[in-house]
Amino acid sequence: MVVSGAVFVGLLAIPAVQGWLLKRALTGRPGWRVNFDHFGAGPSGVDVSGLDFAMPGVEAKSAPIVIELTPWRLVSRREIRIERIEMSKLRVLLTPAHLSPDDATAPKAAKASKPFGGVLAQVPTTWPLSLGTAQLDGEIVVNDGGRSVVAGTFNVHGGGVSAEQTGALAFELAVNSALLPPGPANQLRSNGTVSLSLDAEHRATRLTLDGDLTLPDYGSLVLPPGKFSVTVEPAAGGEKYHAELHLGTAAVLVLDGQLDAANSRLTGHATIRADQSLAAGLKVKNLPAVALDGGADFSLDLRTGDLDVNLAGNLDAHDWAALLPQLAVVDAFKGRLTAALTRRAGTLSVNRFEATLQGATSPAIFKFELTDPLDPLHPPQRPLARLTLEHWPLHWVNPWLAPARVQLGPAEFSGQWTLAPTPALGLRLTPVYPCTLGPVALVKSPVPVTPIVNFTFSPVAELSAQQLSVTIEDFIATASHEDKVDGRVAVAFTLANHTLHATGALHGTLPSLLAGAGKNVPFTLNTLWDITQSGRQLRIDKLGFSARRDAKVTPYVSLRFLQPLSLDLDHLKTAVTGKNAEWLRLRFQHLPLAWVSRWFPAWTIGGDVIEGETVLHSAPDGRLTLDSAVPWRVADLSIAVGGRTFFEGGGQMAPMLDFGAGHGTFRLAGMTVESRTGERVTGSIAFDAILADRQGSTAVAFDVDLPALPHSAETFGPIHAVVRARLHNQTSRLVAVDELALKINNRGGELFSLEATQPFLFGLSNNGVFTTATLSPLRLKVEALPLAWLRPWTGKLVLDGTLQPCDLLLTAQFTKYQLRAQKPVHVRDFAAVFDGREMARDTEFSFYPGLDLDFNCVPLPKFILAYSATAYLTDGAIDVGGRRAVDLDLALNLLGNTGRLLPNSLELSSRVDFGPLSAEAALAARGIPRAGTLVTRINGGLLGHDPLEVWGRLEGVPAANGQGTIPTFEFSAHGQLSPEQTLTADVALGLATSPQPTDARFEAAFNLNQSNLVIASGFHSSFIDVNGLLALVTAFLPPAKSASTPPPVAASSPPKPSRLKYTPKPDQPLWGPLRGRFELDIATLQYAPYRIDGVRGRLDLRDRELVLSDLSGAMFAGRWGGRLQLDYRPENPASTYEVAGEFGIEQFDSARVVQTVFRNELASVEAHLNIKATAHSRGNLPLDLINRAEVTFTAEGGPGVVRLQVPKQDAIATAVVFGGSILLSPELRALGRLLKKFAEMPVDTVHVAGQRTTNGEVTLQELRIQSPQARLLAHGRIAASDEPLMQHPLEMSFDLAAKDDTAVILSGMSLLRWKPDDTGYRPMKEPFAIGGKVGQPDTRPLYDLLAKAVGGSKGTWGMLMRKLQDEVNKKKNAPPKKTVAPPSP
Amino acid sequence: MKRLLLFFIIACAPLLAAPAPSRTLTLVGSATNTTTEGKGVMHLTLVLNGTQAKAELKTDAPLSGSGQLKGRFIGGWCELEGKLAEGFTIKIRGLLNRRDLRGTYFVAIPGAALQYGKLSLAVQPAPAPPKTS
Repeated sequence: MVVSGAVFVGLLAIPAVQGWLLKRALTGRPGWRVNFDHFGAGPSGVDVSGLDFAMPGVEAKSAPIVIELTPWRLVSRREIRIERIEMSKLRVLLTPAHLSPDDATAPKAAKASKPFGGVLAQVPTTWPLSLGTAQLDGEIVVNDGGRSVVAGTFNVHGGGVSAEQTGALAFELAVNSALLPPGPANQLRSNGTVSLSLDAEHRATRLTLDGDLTLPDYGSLVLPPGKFSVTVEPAAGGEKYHAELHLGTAAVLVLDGQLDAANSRLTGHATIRADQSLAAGLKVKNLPAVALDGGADFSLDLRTGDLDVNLAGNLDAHDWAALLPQLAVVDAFKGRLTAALTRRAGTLSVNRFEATLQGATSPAIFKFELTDPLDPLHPPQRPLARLTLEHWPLHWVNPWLAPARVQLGPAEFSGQWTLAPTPALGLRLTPVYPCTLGPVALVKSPVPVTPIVNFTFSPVAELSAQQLSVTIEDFIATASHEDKVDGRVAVAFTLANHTLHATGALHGTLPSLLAGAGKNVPFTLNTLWDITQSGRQLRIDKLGFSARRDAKVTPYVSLRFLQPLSLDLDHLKTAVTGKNAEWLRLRFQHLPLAWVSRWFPAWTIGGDVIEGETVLHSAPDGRLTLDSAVPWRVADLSIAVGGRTFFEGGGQMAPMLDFGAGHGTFRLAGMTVESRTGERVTGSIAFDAILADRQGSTAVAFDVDLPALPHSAETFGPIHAVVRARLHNQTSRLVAVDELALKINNRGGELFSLEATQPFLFGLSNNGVFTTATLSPLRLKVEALPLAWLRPWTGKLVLDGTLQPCDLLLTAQFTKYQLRAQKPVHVRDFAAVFDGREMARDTEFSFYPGLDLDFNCVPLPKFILAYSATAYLTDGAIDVGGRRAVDLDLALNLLGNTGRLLPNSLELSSRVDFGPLSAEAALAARGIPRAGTLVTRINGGLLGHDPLEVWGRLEGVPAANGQGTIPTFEFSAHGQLSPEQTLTADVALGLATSPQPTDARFEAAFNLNQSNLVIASGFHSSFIDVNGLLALVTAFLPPAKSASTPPPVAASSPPKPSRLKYTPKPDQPLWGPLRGRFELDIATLQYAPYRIDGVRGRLDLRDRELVLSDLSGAMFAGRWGGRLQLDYRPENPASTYEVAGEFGIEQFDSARVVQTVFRNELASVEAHLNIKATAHSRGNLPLDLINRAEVTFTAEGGPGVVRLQVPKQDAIATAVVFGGSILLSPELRALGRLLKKFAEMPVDTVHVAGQRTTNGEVTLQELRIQSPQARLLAHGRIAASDEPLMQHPLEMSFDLAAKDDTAVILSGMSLLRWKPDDTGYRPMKEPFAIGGKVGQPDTRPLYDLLAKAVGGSKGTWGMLMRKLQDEVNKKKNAPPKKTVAPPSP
Repeated sequence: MKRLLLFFIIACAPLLAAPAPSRTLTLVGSATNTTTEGKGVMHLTLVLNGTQAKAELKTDAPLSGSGQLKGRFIGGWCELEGKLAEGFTIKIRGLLNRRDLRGTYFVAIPGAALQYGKLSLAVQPAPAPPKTS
């Protein structure tokens, strides 16, 4: 027994026996199979190699498997201790369809499995188990239908599972699936840890699963990486479960469940929340914002599989514009879903399902609800759900209508359908009541008359895998004023053969559209159709249309198919019938046209299409022909726009169409339009096409007789025009024009012609560029045309002259075009009168026009255009009165595209001779001088790439005062234009004034967009002659309206500006477009005879102010300074400008002023003065402002000298008196001493105060001269004059007071009062007057007074001097008396 | 007799007066045929005599054109025209100042469309007078 037992044990220890026993044990079950190369089991473990295991649905193969056990633990602790498990390259193949074959055949409802004790209860406790380490890796494959749908790899390692210890196994899983989009990284990946805790009795107390989950991308859905955790713990009566899945923060799924182990019932609650950030992970970014949350309560019987689920969820969706911009008008929606599902006895039933969407601010409602429980796998053939759409605003479609300039007013769509499954998994939607759409009103429409329409219809829709169809049997559209269209419409689309079948019939009465409110409708409309299109075959079973006043009369228009027609759309032919057949007939009979006016505001159209009949035939070979046996004839046609009739007459045409054998011809033959006044157009248009070759040609021929165009009687007379054109397509993209001719003649011959003498091509090149090529130029000829023909259309402008014949040639070479003139465009005897005022006469002009154009246009798929053009005007000349007035040459290069046209460069040369131009009255009135020339050139870039240079010279212009010509003026600017269209340039000006030229240099920026010139630079000049500048300005001022001959001016006097009577009303300030500031640096500023040296200051130019500030300089040895502001007040046309200024000169040498004018004159007052003056003026012109200036001034100074010069009556006598060498009377000797004092009288102080009035007169309120022996007090006036101030007439009244020697002398002459005043001076008994000029005072009244005192007579100074001369003569003749002093040598 | 003599003197005065001296300018610069977009160097020797102008034109490759031109010069406005050795006619119009001549031109080639161009020629400094020993 023992031996046999030992033998048995020994046999069991043989691996072959073990393997045989294992195979025997496993293969005894159906579907099971096991093979291996080696199987060995011993007390310390099991090793297997070459394992090949199969059971229903599962196959596994493995590399060597090693399981190490610790046998003594079984003995010592009654515990199965697995020290190590190693399974590598384990391959598991699952075929779900083959799993549990016996289960698949057993009735599910009847089967109830044994109670489920829970997940933790699956851990065996009979034989306490512990695990040291485990290492498993391999792959798992899931097959379905013979192909692999899932393939993944796994790796598990870890261990440490034993009593009172938590073991942990780490896992990694990567799964690919054919169900996922292809991609190397598109895997479901998860890794984490499974932890199992056992208590002392080896019972599982906690199982946790934590890990990361990366879900694969599915299309545009890219979910964020997730984290999950699952916890299984024991609970009273079973287990409790908690699971969470977090997809970032965007979505959270939480499940809490509890197992009632006794009843095997799992209950719980699951919640899900997702917000719109979930969409942030989507590849498709333009999605609306959607947030949802929901929950489900479930109860699952694990034994029977019975299930109860109640679902509820909410949805919030808005920002539809993210999906499509046009959806911005769509409301936000709030949604609610509730559902109840049960599974009983293996049958799933949806007992309740209701989904609603409600507009947040609009009443729009979408509602879907089950009306009966639904078994999704066995849907009943009866209505079980209801779909409701209520109050859906129609204006949500407005964004799509905007391009058509159509906008709908408020309108709503409502409808409700029952949904019933149909056989073959179809669905039928049956309206519960008619759908309504309305009131549909076009609040914006290019069509002027659109009534408010309400629609009702009941669309029955059937959807199935075979066909989609919609049938409306009760279509009704109604509007006010009895507009109504009703009928039926049905459309069905068969999916299998893509056949579209449409049938319907509509009847309409549309008074609003065809007549207007309150008017009788001209006709009613009827149409019916039954058309089927399948592929390129079209079958028309029925097609009819008619417009008729009522059923009793013949229709105005009728289109009728006479029999069913099958049409090959590719070849536009019908089937071969072997005989002629008539298919369609279109007939007109007295169709009124007045209703068309309803659609064109301001247009009035009248007339009738009185007859016309066109029939569609087919030939025996299937060729189709459209013949107009009766031409379409229109009679009494009238077209008026805005009450003005443009056409009255009639016309006819006969449309003809011929199709067949791939060739088609369409002709509008016999076209005739003839007006009542005799205008007549006859012609034809024919279009031929060979469809197979995609070849087509068109021929156009028209003859136009226009005997009575408006104003033709007094202008060009009857016109006859001929148009001939033939063209064909050379390729699918290129058209060849074989013939093109347009000729317009009048009785005198040809007026205008456009002709292509040889064929030319146009179309798209291979790279899509629009291209044109001419073999010879297109020729445009214009014969001599009197400009007087334009008079009826030029209003107040009356033109005269003759445009001489022109001959222009247009050449094209692909993208390059050239327009050239054979001879200059020339107008002779040009004259223009505008509103009775002569603008030009006796004028002739000519020029060569030219254009080089590089035109690059790609019209498709997106229109792209770029071009460079240079326009030329060369050899330009304007002659006035037979004399050349203007020479001009211009080349302007332009760059452009679809959006912009930019001037790129300019070459301009011009010469203007003012002499001939001044003969034009209009130009003369604008101030153009009677002679002189201006040459100007502008060269360079206008886009900032190249510099721009301007240079010009003005010379030979007569001065406004008639004194010769103004100095030659040259100007130049060198700068560059910025992209902002601002030209920044160095400007230099030169005026050839004599003896020293005037010059100026500054930097300026000219903004071409705002047309203003901005400067912010120094203004440098060596010399400025103000008179020269004024001469330049005044030479271009308009002449005085009341011309007065200027008084003759002495040749020696400097030129002075003329007085201008003309006062323009300027529309911009004197400084024109100039803005900014100048820092003035002028070496010398001369306003002859005055000059200021070293002028510094600042000039600010604003829109309404000109400010000169911080002025300084040297004038008459004094320091000159001041400030001036000129305000521009265009709102005050009487005086547009107002000027206010302050000036001062310190230590001004009064003698220099006199000597500036009278070079040899000693000044009456010679002192250094401080002058202060304030000025104020108003006017419209610079000279006005100067002439009308009001000035208040004061002068203070001293010490100095006052000279009361002796009148130059007799030099000898004066010398005698002064010399006193001749013994005269005591009175004369006293006079002699007095004159010596007066001749050069030292003064302590000089004070002057006065005012200048607007008429130029100066009032001297006070002149006070204080000297040690005399005091002069004076007042008076300086009369206005055109001369320099020193030459103005002077009228002064003087009071002289004296003391000391002078008082003794004058007292001796009995000229003083006896009593001195408070200051000690004794006043003269009477004042004296001084006249003359400011620079040359006439002191004779003073000396007359003295003469009277000396002579005691009534004589004057002159008489006294003559007496004195006589005395001297007598003395010379008499023997000399003895004196105490020897006579002078 | 005296009156007759006086009339004779007055009438012949212009003839007896010394003729105005002519000026010769040498100009060199660029010329651009804007129709063909060709660019080259142009040499122009310009003789100004009152309002009359004569010139000799030479053009370097790739442009072509050389020959005698004549025209007018009034207040800076310069207009020259002539038939060139290459068989075509050129007309130049522009403005001449102390520094340069800038303007436009066109050439009429028999049997072809007019071609347009622009020029910018700088006045070359006058050669130094020959030194006399």
